[in-house]
Amino acid sequence: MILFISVFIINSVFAQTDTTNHYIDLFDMDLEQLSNIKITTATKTSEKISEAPSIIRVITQKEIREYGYKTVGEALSQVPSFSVINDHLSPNVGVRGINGGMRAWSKIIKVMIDGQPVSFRPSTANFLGRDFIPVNLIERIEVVTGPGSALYGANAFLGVVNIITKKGEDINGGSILAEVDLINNNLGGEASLVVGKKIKNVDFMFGLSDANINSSGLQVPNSSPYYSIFHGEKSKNDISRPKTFYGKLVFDNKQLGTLTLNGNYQCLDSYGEFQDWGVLTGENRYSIYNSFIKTQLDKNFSSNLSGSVFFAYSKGGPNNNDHLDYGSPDYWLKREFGYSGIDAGIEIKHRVNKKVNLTYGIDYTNDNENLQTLWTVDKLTGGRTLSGQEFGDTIFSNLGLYLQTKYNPSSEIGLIAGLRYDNHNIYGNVINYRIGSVFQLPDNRYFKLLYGTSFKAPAAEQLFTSNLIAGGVYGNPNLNPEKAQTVEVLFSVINKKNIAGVVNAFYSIIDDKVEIGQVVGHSAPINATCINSYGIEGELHWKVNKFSGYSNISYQHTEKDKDNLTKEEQRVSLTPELILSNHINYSIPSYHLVFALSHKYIGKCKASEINIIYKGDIYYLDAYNILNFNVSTVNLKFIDKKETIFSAKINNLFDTDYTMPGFRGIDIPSLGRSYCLKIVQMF
Amino acid sequence: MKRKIYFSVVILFLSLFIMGTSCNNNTSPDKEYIKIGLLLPQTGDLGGDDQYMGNAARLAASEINDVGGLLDKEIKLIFKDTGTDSAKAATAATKVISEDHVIAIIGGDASSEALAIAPVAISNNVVQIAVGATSPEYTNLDDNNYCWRTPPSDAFQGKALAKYLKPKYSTAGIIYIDNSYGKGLKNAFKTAFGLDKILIEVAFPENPGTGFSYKLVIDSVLATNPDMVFVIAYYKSGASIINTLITENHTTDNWYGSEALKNNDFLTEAGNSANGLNGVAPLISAGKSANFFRTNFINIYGEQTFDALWGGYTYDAMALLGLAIKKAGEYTPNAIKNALSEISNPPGDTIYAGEWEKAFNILDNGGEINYQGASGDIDFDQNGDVTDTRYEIWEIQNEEFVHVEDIK
Repeated sequence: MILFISVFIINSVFAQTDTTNHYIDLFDMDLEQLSNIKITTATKTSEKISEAPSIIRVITQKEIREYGYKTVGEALSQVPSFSVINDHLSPNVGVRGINGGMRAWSKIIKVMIDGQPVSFRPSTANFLGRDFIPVNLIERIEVVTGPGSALYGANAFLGVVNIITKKGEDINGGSILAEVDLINNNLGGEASLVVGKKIKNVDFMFGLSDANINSSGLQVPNSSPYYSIFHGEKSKNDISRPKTFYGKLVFDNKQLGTLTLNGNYQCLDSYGEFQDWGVLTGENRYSIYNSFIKTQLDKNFSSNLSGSVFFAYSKGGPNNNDHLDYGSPDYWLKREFGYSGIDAGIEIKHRVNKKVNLTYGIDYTNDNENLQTLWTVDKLTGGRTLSGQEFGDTIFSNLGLYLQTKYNPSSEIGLIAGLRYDNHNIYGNVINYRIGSVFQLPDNRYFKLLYGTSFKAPAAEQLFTSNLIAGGVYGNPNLNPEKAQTVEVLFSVINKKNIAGVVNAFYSIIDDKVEIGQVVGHSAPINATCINSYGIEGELHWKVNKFSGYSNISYQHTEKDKDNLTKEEQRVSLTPELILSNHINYSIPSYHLVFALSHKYIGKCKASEINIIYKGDIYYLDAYNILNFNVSTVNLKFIDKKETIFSAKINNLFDTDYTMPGFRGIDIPSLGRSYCLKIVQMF
Repeated sequence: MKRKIYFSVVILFLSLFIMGTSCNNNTSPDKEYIKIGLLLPQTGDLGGDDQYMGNAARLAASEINDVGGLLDKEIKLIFKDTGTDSAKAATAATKVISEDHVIAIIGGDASSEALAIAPVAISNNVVQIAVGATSPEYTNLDDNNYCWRTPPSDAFQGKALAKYLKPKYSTAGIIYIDNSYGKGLKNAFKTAFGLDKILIEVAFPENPGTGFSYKLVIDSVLATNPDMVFVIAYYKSGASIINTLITENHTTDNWYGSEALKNNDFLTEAGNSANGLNGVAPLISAGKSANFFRTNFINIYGEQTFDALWGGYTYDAMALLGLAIKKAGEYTPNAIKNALSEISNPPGDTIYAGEWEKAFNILDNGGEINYQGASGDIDFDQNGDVTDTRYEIWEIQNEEFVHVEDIK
């Protein structure tokens, strides 16, 4: 009701103009135009994909809308070499054969919104579900696959994901979304509001969404070592209530510059029926909030010199209804922890001459981490008892200095070198660098040769924590950062109006890879192993009349560098070696319809190390195919010449039963066929 | 005439031969047994309990067999290792029921084992008498009277210990094994001692392996500076905790151990590190049954593996099954479970351990008996729990258990 009232108020305040031109333009773009979309994540400067010295993939709002992606996690699963484990609490992204493992929740990539990192700092996890950002606010998602620490510092380890949000001017009004989902015969839904406008020199936008998703009724797969314990039981009360808000205000002033104020609130609030500590308890609730607010001033001092200064404040921790349950009849587990942090920085962009561009900057982060304390809470009386060591508060601070040089000796050649120095008060100094070259070839093709280093910083909970469960994992204060070196080569095979294809290969060496091992007789993360990973990725986009689509393939071979292991034992767990993806859509403008069909093949995948130990034998999860179908309207106008979008989506069209790797005795079941009906009304 | 004599002699020899072979056939190798499962840990944290507990059950069975067995059959105990592991215990129970067709089970030892065996026993209508399980969880099983136990519930141990310690200490820390036994006793103690007086409770895993370090567990507890520490552990993990405590230059002053530590294996593993440690355990009476059990056990198996407490519980479990079968006049599980209370609760003629012939005579003549066991009075309530809830405080002095005081 509040959303509808808001719509009417806002609609009456602002002048009514046609907001659909932007969407139609995107739909009518040919492939060449799409490949020339300007991106900023690769070098913090605006450039075309063909010129950027990175393996970069852009997920446009067109693709999000056509294929009905509800979350950033779902969109990322379409990127070559990105594999996503959905444990029905939060997506866990793996890249090029590497996954962060148990409870990692996408910590091996750096995720940003408009350049601001948004990880949950105590664990460095990135929550990429419906709790992250209202999808309707996304202009595009820029995904850099590979190292990014030479520019972005810690945790730009195997990829960088930057959500570029829409401008208020492009929204020019707003939209209200209502969605109904049917998952495992459970009804759920989502509501969302987006508003944006530009008034004189102030551009503002905001969006919020709230959902209630029920995925109860699933069973522990029979691949699980503990299958016999849970056989016959189904998940119950497996409800997720994600909420999110994002807002941005941009003020342009000729003297002052451009002042941006933006902020994000994420609330992950979900029951976790397949979490390793509380399987099928019906009462295991994981509820976390994460937020930031940022202000940035950008100024052009001259045509060759610009600068920016920013300040951000972030905060996060468990909500009051966070309630971890082991299935004990007597008590549940209460966590107390959280963080508050500030980020500040200055950056200068200097165009030295026509051929040389410099970007340099300094940034500083100071996080006050209230380290995790655990309490057992009596279910009858509510009385609580300390259940482990109290670590108190610790400061995590980092100073980063970076310099990047772009050199274009000609219009056909682009060279880049970047260096970054980070000094952290706990794990010390880390230096990262990259070099790259991009060659423009005839017929709009291009070639890239890249090398870079990156690192994954140890999170507060990896360094200092009590175990969540008896015999579980303690912190290791001596943990070092994981480090990667990656060489990549990319070749644009064809880049024409109606067909564009790229293929790239990579080779990475990852040192000090963190695994759970033994530290003085208890389990803790340790820098255990070196990993070698190599592979090939390819993507082909095409457009024929009213049909368009893309296919991609990724193959990786990732293994531990340990001579005392067999070939099978050397192979790394959790990610499939081969992933194939096919997408096709068909638009009928005269009927205002777009149909989209997507197919994915996920190759067989080695089970997690801990489950292999529990089972006593190496085992794999079967390969599978999955098909999704989406149909939506385009340019349909009923109310005041504003577009109304109807869409219907069927996920897992053939109700394929597949299994994803889990931990500590259980694997993760798939959702069956699910349905979604959505209506979006622009205003 | 001579032909008649020779013919008679031949017939006589033939008759003797036939009778002889007929007599031999009467002692057939396929003699029937009454099979009872004996499920105890040979491995795991309680590994070795199969010796002193298992031998106690074998002793009782052999005493009954020596007086003619039951219903013209001998008792045969089928042993399986439960590994101090609930999954192994459940598997062992399934095997003895499906392959050996036992009519009753003595075991498990750990509460987690007993709780894992219980649903197998219940679903197969087999009587179970647990001999080491003390978790309060065992009381509330929906068992259709198939599940019994000889040790008392920790609901009473926790209360008794708390009542004893409250006047002496203001605050406590708890270290407990993360299974139904540890959690049950911990909760009972906490509730009785006062939730607000428990500064910290830290769990360690069941069967953690030889490399596991208890240092962090101990450090976490001592960091809160409690007045006393209550350790709920089995003998191996308990010994590791105490050894680590001493190695880290702490003392056992104001440390109390649970009843599972009161056995010789703990003394062997902990050595002189355990000196000064106090603890709690059910009180074993020094009556006629206890003396008989002790004398007979040591005579046959030696003093080294004798245990009055846990051995007594297991001896009594076998004795109870034997007397119940005799009372029922049949060895179906249904009849056994209905007879268990009748032979152990008053009224009836008092029967002590070893008085099997006396007991059988009374029962044969339609009388009632009241078995007084080696471990105590053995009166059951409606849940199959014993009602004798007397405990003692013990202390280890010169690597021996010394009785300090009775508590209740």
